[in-house]
Amino acid sequence: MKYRTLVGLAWGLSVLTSGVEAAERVSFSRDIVPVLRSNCATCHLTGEEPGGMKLYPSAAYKSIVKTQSQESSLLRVTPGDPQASYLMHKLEGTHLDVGGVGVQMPFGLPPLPPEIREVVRRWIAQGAQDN
Amino acid sequence: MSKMKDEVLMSRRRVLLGAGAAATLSVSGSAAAASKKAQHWDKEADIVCVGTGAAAGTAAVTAAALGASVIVLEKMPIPGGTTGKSGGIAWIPNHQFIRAAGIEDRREDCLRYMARFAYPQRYDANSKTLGLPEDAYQLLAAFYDNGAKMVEWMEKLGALRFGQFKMWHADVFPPDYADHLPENKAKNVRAMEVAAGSYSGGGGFSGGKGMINQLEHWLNEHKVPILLEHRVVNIVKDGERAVGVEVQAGDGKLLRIRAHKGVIFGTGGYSHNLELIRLHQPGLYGSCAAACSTGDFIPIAQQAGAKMGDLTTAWRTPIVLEQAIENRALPLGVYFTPGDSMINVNKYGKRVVNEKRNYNDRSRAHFVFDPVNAEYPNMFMFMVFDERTLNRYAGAYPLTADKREAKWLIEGRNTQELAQNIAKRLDKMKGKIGCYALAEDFAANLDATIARFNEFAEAGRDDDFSRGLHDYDRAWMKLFSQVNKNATFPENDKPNSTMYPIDRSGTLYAIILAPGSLETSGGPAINANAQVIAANGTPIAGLYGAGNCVAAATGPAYMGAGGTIGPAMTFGYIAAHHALGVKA
Repeated sequence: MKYRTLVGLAWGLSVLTSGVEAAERVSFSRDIVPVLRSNCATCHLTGEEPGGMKLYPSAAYKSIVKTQSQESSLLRVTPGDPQASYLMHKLEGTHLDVGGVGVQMPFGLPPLPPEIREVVRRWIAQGAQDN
Repeated sequence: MSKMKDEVLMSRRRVLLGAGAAATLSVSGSAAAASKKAQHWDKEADIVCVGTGAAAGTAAVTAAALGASVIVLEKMPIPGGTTGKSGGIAWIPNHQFIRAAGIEDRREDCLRYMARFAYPQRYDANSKTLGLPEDAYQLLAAFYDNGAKMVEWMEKLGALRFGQFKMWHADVFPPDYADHLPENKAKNVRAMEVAAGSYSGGGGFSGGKGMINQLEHWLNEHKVPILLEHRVVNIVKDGERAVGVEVQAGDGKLLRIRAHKGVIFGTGGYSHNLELIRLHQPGLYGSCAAACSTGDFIPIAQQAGAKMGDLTTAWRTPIVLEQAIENRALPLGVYFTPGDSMINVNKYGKRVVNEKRNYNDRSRAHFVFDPVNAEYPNMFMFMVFDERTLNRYAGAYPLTADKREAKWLIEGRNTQELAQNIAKRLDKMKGKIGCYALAEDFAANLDATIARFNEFAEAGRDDDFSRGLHDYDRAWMKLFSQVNKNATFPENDKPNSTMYPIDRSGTLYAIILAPGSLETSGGPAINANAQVIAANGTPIAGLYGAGNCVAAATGPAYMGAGGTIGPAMTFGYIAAHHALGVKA
């Protein structure tokens, strides 16, 4: 069996972002890029895969911020507005409620743990800066 | 260097076959200019490894640990390739945990299992090579002889740490994919798992991601350069020997990198090269391989004079057709058909396969040809199930936790309506699925098929396809057919846990399944030293291949969980040793 479909990798994510305190400003390069690289980039690599995104470190920001999603009318990330960010809905599993399609991400894996999703949410709420 | 007669090999075919960056080579100017240019090397090392998956990663670690200078080249912006998407399992004969448990996985037994499973048309238990051609036998023997050594070597180096694999969540040792063959004497112990939180910085991840993280970390720690966005477009030869590579760097520059002792390719298969798929894998509708799997090594090796091995093999899996038509780069395959009140039928509404067998072999049933009707009646299969399976196994792909997520779900209030709705979906894909259509008697046959299956379910015995008879069917169901926590349908109280009567009084559902792959496994031929073989049958000095970029050592067989990565790592390990003249 080559592909892991069910195993929970989520606990490992806390290692990557454990340094982010609630009041701290979220850094895209420090806090978001590792999450995308470890959980998303192997499937969203060339931009030709479903979703049409490149989520490896050097391309991720441009691929998601202020960029129209393919599956809904929302931008993937709307700076300052997590509720208007399709990425957030795909991670939360609320994508169908905002006109999206497909399944919650990561595909075939448990959802990212709440604390990681919260970091993403705060990054967007703080303006989704390329910092 | 002055005597070096480099062969700068250019090819339009390379462009056609997907290695588009090579196009710049074809305008490299006059022969004199090319000759002068050929004297220059931008970088050099003892060993150049191409790719960053399990095969090339293991080769790079091994070569560096043996004292060689190593350069790793990766065309993508992050390392890992398809290994990074995988479960990171490695199927390894007679490894340390098997021996520690006092279980015998003897060489002769394991070779019999592998030979019998991979080549039933040739297998002869009484033959010195088990009926196989010498080269095929030697590949299996090399795998057996070096697999466990490779694992212990990687552990000793602190590059990777393995544990014996138990199926995630199910806590059961995984039966091999032909667990029930009498030749298989150690049928559920050979799969190993890369442990999370390794010696060397796995970042807390297990699986393929963890494997790649650990390999990358070890290489970084040992100052082995990993040049990302560096696509190899050509092999440079000095006479008959491979002495380096030409590389298209991300900034557009063409670099020449010398390899004093060997070039080792581990660049993946060709699942996403449509031309190669058309030529060698007709009917492979999509793949879970990384989208960068474009078979770059095939034209490069051809230009270097390599002989092709079997190009037709793949690590196969059924896939959801409608997903693949939308985008052939798939996140998952239907590795296991979930549910108990469920069957797969063909265009005639008839079962044609044990729905619970492994994904590789189940996929091969799609390609049966009917010489009377001149068609592939099983090219697409229809996973038919009822409300029970939808509810009870929700979330077990291709069933989704929320029914709305599954665009590929087809419904009908009875078999007639289900057939009509399947036909409508097929019609929407017209032009992409050939002349495949449901037979007129599909619904009637489906009714009869369900009735017959329901009798089997009640009796606990599948007289047609032995579903649930062997350990594999039952054990893997625990992993891939987990019961949803919100399920409202009752436990299976029938005598065979893999079967339950399908309820035709309620809504029936269907999903269209097609043949796909985790990755292709065909390519240039290698020998037991992982040397790429030339067209004249002799090894090409200095040129090695391992993993999915070369013809699989285990042929078309998927031996068990990790049957892809185990041989890939082992031949990467063998290649590095041989290139450096060190006995493995």
